[in-house]
Amino acid sequence: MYRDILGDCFLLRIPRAESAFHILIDCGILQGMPNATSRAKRIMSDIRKQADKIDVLIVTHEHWDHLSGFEQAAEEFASISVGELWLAWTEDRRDEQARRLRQGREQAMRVIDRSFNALTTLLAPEFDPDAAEEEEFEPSSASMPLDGLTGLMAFVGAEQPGGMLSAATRTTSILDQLRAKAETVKFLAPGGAVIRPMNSDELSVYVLGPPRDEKMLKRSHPSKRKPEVYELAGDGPEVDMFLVAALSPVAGVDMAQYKLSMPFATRELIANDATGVRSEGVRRSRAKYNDPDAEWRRIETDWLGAAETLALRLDSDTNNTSLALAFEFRGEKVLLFPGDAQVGSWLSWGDYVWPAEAKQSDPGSVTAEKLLARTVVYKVGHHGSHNATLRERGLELMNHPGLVAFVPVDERFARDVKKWNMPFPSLNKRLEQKTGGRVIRGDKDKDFLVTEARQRAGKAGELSRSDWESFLDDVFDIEDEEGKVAIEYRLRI
Amino acid sequence: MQTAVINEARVQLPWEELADGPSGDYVEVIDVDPASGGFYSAVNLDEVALLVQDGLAPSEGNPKFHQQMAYAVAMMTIRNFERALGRKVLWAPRPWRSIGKGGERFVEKLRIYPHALREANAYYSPSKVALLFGYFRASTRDPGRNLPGGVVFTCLSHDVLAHETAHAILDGMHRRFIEASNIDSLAFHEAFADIVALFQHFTLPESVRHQISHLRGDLGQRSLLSGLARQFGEAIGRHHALRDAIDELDPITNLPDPTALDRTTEPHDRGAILVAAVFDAFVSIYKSRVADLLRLTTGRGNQFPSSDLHPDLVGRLTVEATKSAGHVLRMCIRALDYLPPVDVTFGDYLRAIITADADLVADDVRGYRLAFIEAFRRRGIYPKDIRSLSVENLIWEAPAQPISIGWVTKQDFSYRRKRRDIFRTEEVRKRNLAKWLVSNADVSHEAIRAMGLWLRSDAKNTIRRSRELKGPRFEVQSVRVANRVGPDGQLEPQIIIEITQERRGYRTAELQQQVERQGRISGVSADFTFRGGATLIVDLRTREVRCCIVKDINSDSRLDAQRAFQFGAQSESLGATYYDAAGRREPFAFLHRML
Repeated sequence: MYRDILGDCFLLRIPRAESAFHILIDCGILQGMPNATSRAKRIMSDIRKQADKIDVLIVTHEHWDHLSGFEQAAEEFASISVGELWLAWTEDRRDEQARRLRQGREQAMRVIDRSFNALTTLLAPEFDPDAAEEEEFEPSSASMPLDGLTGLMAFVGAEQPGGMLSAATRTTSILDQLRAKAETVKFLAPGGAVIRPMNSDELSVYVLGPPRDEKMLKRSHPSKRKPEVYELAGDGPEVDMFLVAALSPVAGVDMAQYKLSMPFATRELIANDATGVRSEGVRRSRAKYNDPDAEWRRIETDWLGAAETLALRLDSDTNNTSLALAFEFRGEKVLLFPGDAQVGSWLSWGDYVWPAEAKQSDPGSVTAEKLLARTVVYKVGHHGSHNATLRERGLELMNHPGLVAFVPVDERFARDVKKWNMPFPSLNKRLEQKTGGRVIRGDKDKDFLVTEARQRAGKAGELSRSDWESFLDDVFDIEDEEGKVAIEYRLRI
Repeated sequence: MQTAVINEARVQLPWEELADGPSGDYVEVIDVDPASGGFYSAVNLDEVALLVQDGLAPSEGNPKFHQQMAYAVAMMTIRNFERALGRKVLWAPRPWRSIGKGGERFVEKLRIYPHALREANAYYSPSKVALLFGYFRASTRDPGRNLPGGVVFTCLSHDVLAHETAHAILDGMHRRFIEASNIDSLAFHEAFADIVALFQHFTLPESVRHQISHLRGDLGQRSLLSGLARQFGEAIGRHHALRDAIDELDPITNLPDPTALDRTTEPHDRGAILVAAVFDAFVSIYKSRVADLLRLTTGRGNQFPSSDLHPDLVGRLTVEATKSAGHVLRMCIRALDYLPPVDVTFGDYLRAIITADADLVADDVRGYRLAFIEAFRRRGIYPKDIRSLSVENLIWEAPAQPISIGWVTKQDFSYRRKRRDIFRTEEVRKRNLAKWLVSNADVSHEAIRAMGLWLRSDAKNTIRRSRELKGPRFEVQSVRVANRVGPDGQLEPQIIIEITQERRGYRTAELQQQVERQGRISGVSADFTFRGGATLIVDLRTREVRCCIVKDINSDSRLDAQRAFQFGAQSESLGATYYDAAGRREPFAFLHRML
């Protein structure tokens, strides 16, 4: 795992007779992290040092924090050849369903961009003497209404706010370049045949997600009563028009549609600058509303808040299109890489069984449950946020005594700069319990684990001293000229 | 078709002079639609043509009717509060940041924007002291009884209007209740607003009459009366009302699930449990009130007829239902004065309801209090710090040793008629009481501690200090006078005083301890604000503190609980992971969007 980034980058090296077999899963750094480019270059150079050929390159989903590195370190990456490129079926342009999803996404981004641009022009930071009165001034405590939006845009890779769509084009073009570069491209759908990339029983890969079922694909929040976040804007472009039309002029909206997008007949509406007889009925309310002393009560921008909901949904929808894979070694130990898959995707895994004609109850069949039970390496989804790791049908099923968790997170950046609750404290705690403290974090080095071991080893309910020792024997800090660049874990098969 | 007869309801309000808008003493409707880029013509309800015909006839396509409806429902809600509280409703003060030099904090009129948003949302904005309503397209796939893709206006729903107005009034009374300091706090705000909307259904006799005849008297079944925001619920594709006040019962025991409360964390879901409890109490009160009528009809006091009712019986049942609903609504509103100033829980609310009622109605002949206790107990709602669930135990105790506040005994609490004067007088009183407390802080430390405060300079390091006082900072949040009238016509004049303090809270217990020891650590700022304080109920006639409702500022266990809730709970939604929910400017916008 490459470290000190809020983003994913994992290199798997599988020893073979001649040379190691290399799998690279994602390489990206969240937009807005300082020195992202130089960090990406360092990471890519290190990858180059390890391998001149990536046998399998996997991009889990189209978010900046999962693929920015291929562009930021394009030079370094150029000298590495790529065998197969694996993408989720949602990236397949020939797939009708995928195309529809993509269109909906673009539509939503357009709305969000527009509202964001409208908002920024209207908003200036406000000053709160209530806060200034305090003897200690906490500038960060009052958040700007746009903070949330800007934060979400960082996932798409928007450099400057309001450029979500153009950023998305950029991530798409990175994907396109990868497609061109790879010898073959595979689009994976869940439940398909087991893949043997090394052409032997050494390694079998099971595809768990993204689900085909759109209900599951859109489900992001762990709630029983409300299976989905309510449909604000629907999926089709025509329903979105209500919000979009207000952000006119929009290309491709004709007059009739525009009229329909108004709540009342057009004669009822009296424009802000109307004069004469028509404006008589609104004279007083307009004066009251525009009274400079009552400026604090105006509502010019509040309706744009709807975009925030949309952005949130869009973000989790994209996360749910993550390619979720289970790597099984010699039919035994499993490495689980769910991307940033959220609740819906996790829940759908239980539907599949391998081989396809077998039943869930067959002793010889493979199910998600069995794969989870044999999981020894779990890549924690979405940097340890609360909704990217399922409890009962996820983490609680990972009961292998050798379980080790990888959390690709930079907590300081997430908390202090982004104000995000990552890693989610109670999830982190449970991970520590399940792994006995063997949680390898993207912002901690081996020394941290050594101290953990010293504190924990041999105590009641903790791993024994020898377990810790053998674990620590398998953990290495990888350094380049500038310092630590990765943390490596050797898995004994 | 079945409900065509109750599609219209008439609301009667006391006379007031109205300007265009309508704009009266309490609210002003401003019909601006920024998304569409214009205004809608304002209705003038004092126009003779409208006066003679009970205002505008209902119409979805006429924005003037929307304005009239918003005004009427908001005023109806305000009136219900004033009757129960025995004083005039004041809105939350204007936020400091919007006030220029010499500006005034008093907000005379709540603003109502009937067409402010283009989404399925409506909310109360504390920073604008305004209600914003949205309109949206009904779901194209599951529109319920709406036109697929048709426009749905939230400002045409009585329930949404009443709900938001209740939020505004509650925020005007308890400014700190919008802070999510424990799992109940936001849920309480939501539940309370729902309770008000729900019981206002029963103030419209036409619809109660219709539903009672339809249900053959049994209000314990789900009906139009128990459902909230039906059109809204259907328009977003849910097939039913947004929320229903009647919860699921276990088919075997016929009881609600008492463990549901422990499992539910989302504010609306959790609030729904409180609403269900109150509705349950209402149904038992109603049933006990109509037992005689039932005995006359079916021969059994607990059995509703199985055939259609005689119109006279419907009439009698309607009277009882409206009366019980009125009582329950008033009990629920009155209890607001008996809540702690910060960090409210459902258990506190139960105690507040019981105490408020016991203060005003000496003997509980109809068993109202028992009905409440029973309904709450069945849903696992009870205070965690009492020995048994009896009325005596639930009533807030009088202070162990008398708290004497000299200032209160000397103060003249004369009546002010105008709301602006009430507000100004209260500001003056708050300042004076604060001054008195500062000069007497050392003398009566025991009494101060009994109020959950710590004003001496040996207070914990994390309690916020004031430069001016050179000691712990505190705030007198309110000094209000209430003149309640009991059912026997007796007056219960009271003064309600709220005093609070703040303390800096940190993300981890270790950090907290470190700061407690060292004072301040450079580079480390507080992660949350912990509040404590007390509500004092003072008898205006004797000037004695009748009871003192405390949330101790010094309590470490409460601080730990708040930390655990804010930084470790499962309660957080995805939005809260990304968005700093506590520091949000529009807390309700977000909460309601999550629905």
